[in-house]
Amino acid sequence: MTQPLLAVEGLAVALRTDHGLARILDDVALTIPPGGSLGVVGESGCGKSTLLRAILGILPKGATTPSGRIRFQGRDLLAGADWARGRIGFVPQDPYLSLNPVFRAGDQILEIMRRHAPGSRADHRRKLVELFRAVQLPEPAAALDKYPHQFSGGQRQRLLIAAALACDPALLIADEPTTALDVTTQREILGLLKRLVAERGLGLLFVTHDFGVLATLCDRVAVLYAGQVAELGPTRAVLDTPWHPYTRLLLACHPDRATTLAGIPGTVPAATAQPSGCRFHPRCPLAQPACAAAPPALLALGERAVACPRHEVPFG
Amino acid sequence: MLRYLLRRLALSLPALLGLVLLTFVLSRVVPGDPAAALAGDAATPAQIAEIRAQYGLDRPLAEQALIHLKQVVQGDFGRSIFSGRPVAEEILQRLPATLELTFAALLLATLIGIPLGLIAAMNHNGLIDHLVRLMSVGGLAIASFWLAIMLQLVFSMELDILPLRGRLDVALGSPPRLTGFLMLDTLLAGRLDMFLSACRHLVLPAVTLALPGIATIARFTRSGVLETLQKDFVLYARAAGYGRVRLAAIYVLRNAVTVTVTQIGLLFGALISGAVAVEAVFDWPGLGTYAVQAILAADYKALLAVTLVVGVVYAVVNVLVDLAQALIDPRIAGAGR
Ligand SMILES: Nc1ncnc2c1ncn2[C@@H]1O[C@H](COP(=O)(O)OP(=O)(O)OP(=O)(O)O)[C@@H](O)[C@H]1O
Ligand SMILES: [Mg+2]
Repeated sequence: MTQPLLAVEGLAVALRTDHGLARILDDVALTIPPGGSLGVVGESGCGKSTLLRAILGILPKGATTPSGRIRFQGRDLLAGADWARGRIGFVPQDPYLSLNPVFRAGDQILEIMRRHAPGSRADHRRKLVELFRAVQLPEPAAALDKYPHQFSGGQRQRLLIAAALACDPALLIADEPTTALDVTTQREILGLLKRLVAERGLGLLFVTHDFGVLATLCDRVAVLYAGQVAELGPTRAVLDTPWHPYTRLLLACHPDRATTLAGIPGTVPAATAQPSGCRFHPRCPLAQPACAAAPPALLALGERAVACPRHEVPFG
Repeated sequence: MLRYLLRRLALSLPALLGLVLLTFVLSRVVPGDPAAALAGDAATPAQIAEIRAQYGLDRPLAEQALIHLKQVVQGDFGRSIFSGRPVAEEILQRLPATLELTFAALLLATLIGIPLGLIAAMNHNGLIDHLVRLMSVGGLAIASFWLAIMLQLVFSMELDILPLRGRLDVALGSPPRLTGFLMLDTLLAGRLDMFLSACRHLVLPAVTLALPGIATIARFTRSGVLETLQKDFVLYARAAGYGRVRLAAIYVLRNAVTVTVTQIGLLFGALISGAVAVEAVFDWPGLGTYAVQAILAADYKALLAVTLVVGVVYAVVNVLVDLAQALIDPRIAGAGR
């Protein structure tokens, strides 16, 4: 078996808050092979962004030292991610807020390249113009000297994608990169990402709320609930026959498929007050007394894994 | 950018016009009869009336205001009631001394205040942060005349390393007056010894004047940096792998100082008024001591002129501040178009 590009094992992240220790992530495990793509879905607040921040080494100030392992290309990332900068490209959620308004967009990206890509500044400029062309930014050469506010939201996200690719990464990490954009632009950006990832053979870790996006962009999916992996498997299989009750409900209330506007009853528990046993049991239609007693193990079944012993029981 | 600058300049004209008229009206509604003051204690009512007519003080207020405005625009501030010399000349004589002092203080306040604020913010809630915060409260609370005297006691009287008062060693003579700025005139005259003497004389008054400024600038820089550190683009830059030092000292600071720079403009007003006390203690022959004399002598012509000159300097400084801001933040010059 080849070495995975990214391997996360037993990752736990906690935050010190005014209400005590918030356990944001708990025993999270996932892997991405070279060139593979993994989508991460789950309700708001379930820890998707925190997972990405742990991998990128930019956890918020109050975070305790994460436990578990994160390995990128076989090397540890948890002790410090600086060595991997440039090899992991990051596309943030909000293109409007992610560029510093008082510096030229080109200079901001060139600074990243100066630190993490070989070559002279002239090389970098040349390469960046090429990248701007690749992400279909209008007037790529002139774009280098413009300020962020001179670009539209979609163009800014193209800039940020170019920035993510600037140091020839092996892995691309994106946190809902299109939620701040309008629908047409969303589609264009996603198409662009899909093409670039395929062309360059990049690994992809992609956070999204959108199952449609998931199906087109990711070959595997991890469903997070309250900081834990509820279900993991090939995207098609999970979307066609979701096993975990949470995944089933999540899919059922997705706008594209929903028969009612009901949503999942209840809310994600506060990270400072996680329920005992299975964290989903208070909201689960299949819950039994045993579910509150002990947390379920992640059962591996072929290519898939699910953290629910009752995954074959249909909803009554 | 040029158009932006011109527009800012044009915008400050009405403010200055307002200042001319307002100060004029104020000078005439406050109690105290300038004609009586001029005529002296022993004057008869007839003499006072004569002086009143001579200075146009008997005409309607509106007419006087117009005449005043016309003269001011021509650079004619009349003659000092106190010394009899043209006020414009006297002010030109003294303005460079005050500008030298206030600019030195402003420079000190900026060069010390900004790094202090930055370091405090990077150490948020740490020891250095607490010290800086303490200092920035203290710096505003300390009365400048008290500080001036303390500094004199320590550095001039006790340690004897800095001069007590004045702008230059009397023994050295003085350089030919070209600009009135001793820093420049001494260098233009090729007199390094005089230049150093001028610098040494500048230290204590400038430090005294700068202290509240250091406090203000440090405070605003600190909060600006703290606010900027919360921004998404900082998180993004960290994820993308910016260096720590560069991130703080350049990437974050440039955003943070947009607020600080505005404060620097406002601070300048405080510095000029602060200069009155500081000049008095250090016997600094500037506009501040001149203003004090004018007040004591009820020399309203001189007072009007001082007020106006300070107003013009203040307006110019604030245009410069706007310009600096437009250079720091490219969105500013574009936005108001
Ligand atoms: N900087 C922070 N300080 C305190 N709590 C935080 C911070 N960032 C995240 N959290 C908490 O951590 C939990 C997980 O947040 P996270 O942003 O990872 O969720 P998410 O799945 O990305 O949600 P969304 O879909 O809304 O982006 C939430 O309960 C949130 O309140
Ligand atoms: Mg998020």
